[in-house]
Amino acid sequence: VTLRCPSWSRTPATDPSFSRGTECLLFDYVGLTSGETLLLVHDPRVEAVAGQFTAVAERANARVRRVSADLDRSSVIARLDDCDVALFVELDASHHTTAVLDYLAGRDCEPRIHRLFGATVETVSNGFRRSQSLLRRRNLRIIERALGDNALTVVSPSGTNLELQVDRTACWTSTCGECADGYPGVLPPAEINTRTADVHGVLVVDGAIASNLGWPLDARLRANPVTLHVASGTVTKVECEHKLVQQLIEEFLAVPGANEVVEIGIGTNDGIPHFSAADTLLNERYASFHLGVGLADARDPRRNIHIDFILGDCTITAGDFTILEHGRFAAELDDTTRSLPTLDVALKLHDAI
Amino acid sequence: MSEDNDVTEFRRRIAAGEAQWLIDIQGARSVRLVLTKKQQDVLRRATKQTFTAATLVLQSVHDDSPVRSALCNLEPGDDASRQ
Repeated sequence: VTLRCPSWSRTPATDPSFSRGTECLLFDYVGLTSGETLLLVHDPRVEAVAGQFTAVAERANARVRRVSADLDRSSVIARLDDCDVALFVELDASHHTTAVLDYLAGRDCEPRIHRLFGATVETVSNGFRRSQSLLRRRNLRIIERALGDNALTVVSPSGTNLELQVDRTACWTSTCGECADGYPGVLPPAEINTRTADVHGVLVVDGAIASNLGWPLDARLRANPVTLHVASGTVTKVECEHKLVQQLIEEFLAVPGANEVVEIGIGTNDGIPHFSAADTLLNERYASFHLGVGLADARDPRRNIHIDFILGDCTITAGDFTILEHGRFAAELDDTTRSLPTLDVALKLHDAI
Repeated sequence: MSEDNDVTEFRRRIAAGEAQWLIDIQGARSVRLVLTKKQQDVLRRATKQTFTAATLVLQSVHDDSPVRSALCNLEPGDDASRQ
């Protein structure tokens, strides 16, 4: 286990995949067009990344204004009035969270606001290799499949065997970076998730671990898989050969209510080639299954502690239909000749705020 | 920051409930109960219909006050399930 990788210290300008990722991020996901004014609010630790965004946007004849996220709340919010689109360039924390939600309340996403979590060179280079339209279509079709069979099964070569009954009364989330319903667009893309109490089986977590508390060790778990035993939507036992990893998870789960499964998710971005050592949202978007546990009350930040357990290679099925196998999604999920499904379920477009 | 400091900080955040960003997942939790024949009979006498399962939708299960009410969705059964 090593320290979290300080990959934001890399120089972005020399990396061609970073340039391509930046263009996809700004022009496809954020929808920046020539003549628009872009406001970048950046964590000071990722100033170099924001600088590269500025250069790319200006080459496309956009006007760019850049401020530090350390600026006081009222100064940042005042600047939103003078832009067409705002991008919060974050590292491991969300800045001015409540103020942005208050600002967007009652507005029809004018200006458009997006928040890029874990804005490292790695995230931009690896997280934006798939178009928004592709991932949006894939997300909706996976939800359609899950609802059609009312159940999902997850197995993996490492020993995962999990049965999930879909809760038809629960809301689903599809995140593709869209600013909607009073919430900023969440980036990097993409995943779907929902909640159900009907989760049973064993999860051998050999991908990565993620937490909104900031996981303090190497996020990757391939060398130290974590085995979770789950019964009726509750984690009942944790096993890991790395004792510090096991201790930290057990300490988290010991918080009253924190051993409850609050999220079943599928990362749908198969452009991400590998897990990151750093605990960033990118890992959750990796094409695989993840299980989120903890307290998830968005109205009370003190009751909002969360850990995601992300599998490596796994197979996800809905009845006889294989959604994901060996990192590849079923081709018919991406079929562009069919119209998008109409889902008989509540759907929201954000998960992290 | 050293690994030890990172670990200490993580533990402090657990204790303080101090997230660096928030996850927004709807708070309802549901439990699906498959009803026994005896329970189905009780419901049939009350409703004149057959229900084989009930899904209880619990709101705000993390609130400090105990859960005292839930939305209930009754799933009708077919004729065969009445036997």
